[in-house]
Amino acid sequence: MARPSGLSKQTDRIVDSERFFIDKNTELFSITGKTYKRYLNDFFNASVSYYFDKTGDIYVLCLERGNIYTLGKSILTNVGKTTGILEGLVVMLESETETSNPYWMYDDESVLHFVGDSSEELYNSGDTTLLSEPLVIKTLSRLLPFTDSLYYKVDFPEELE
Amino acid sequence: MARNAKSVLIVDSLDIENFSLTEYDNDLYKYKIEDLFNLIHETPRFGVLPQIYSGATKGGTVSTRDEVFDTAYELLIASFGSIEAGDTGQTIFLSILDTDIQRLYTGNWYLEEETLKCLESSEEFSLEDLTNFNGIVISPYGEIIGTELWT
Repeated sequence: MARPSGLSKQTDRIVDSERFFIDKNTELFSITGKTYKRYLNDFFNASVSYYFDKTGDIYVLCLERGNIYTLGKSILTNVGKTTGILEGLVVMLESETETSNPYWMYDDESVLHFVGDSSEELYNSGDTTLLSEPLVIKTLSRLLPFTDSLYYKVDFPEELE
Repeated sequence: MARNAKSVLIVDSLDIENFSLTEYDNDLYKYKIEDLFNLIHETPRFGVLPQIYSGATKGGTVSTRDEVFDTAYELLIASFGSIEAGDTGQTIFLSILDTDIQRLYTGNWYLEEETLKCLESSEEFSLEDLTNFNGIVISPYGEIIGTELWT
């Protein structure tokens, strides 16, 4: 399967059948090379969630539909995308309880389109309508280029299996 | 989860981009887990932008279901060198956008005989199916290995 290049090649040096012992928070864990390799790959290829704002240490999710437009447009602009259906990115929308399937996100005449597998969601610039639940925009993998000035958090794989 | 380690295996060399561990020490794995967290917090880990393909070229759009098949076929050949029909181990991760009905089909695609199938959905595209399909074939993770010289 075509995956992000680079890291996976380097971690290929870890042999699947090897067994590793990891001292994590004073507890000793044993994992196979295969699991450890997957963990490292997941770690470095982790998704990134973009937030609308940040107040102190608190990351603020999108609360209004217009927030989604503003955030999504910022992401598109930062990576150099302009307007039109060819100028998109594959992203997901995530609430506190659910992550969507991938969408194709693009801007067309101040309307941000999220084209998914079963629907198309539209978010208008300046729309103050409250979302049914707060949302963030999430990448499939890693931080998008030139977006490190935005508010984001890396979604770490929390646990070793 | 197994405990009570009898011995610890040694990794001779593990280079993770600019983070290189080449020597073993007793705290290697503990250090690594903690350091990985710090590293990814402190240093942005950039991905790449999606790459659009049509046929064996970068960019462009497709206009028939056959052209979707052809594009994925070329990408599979580029990625694997040769392909065996029906081998679900030879898949390629693509998002296929239908711009007429505004739908996106994302998943791992493979060939079965003369049909492009998706592991995650029932959508499929067949060779020589000239039915209109206006859309875009997208590699969400950017340029696919093997297509570096495509223009």
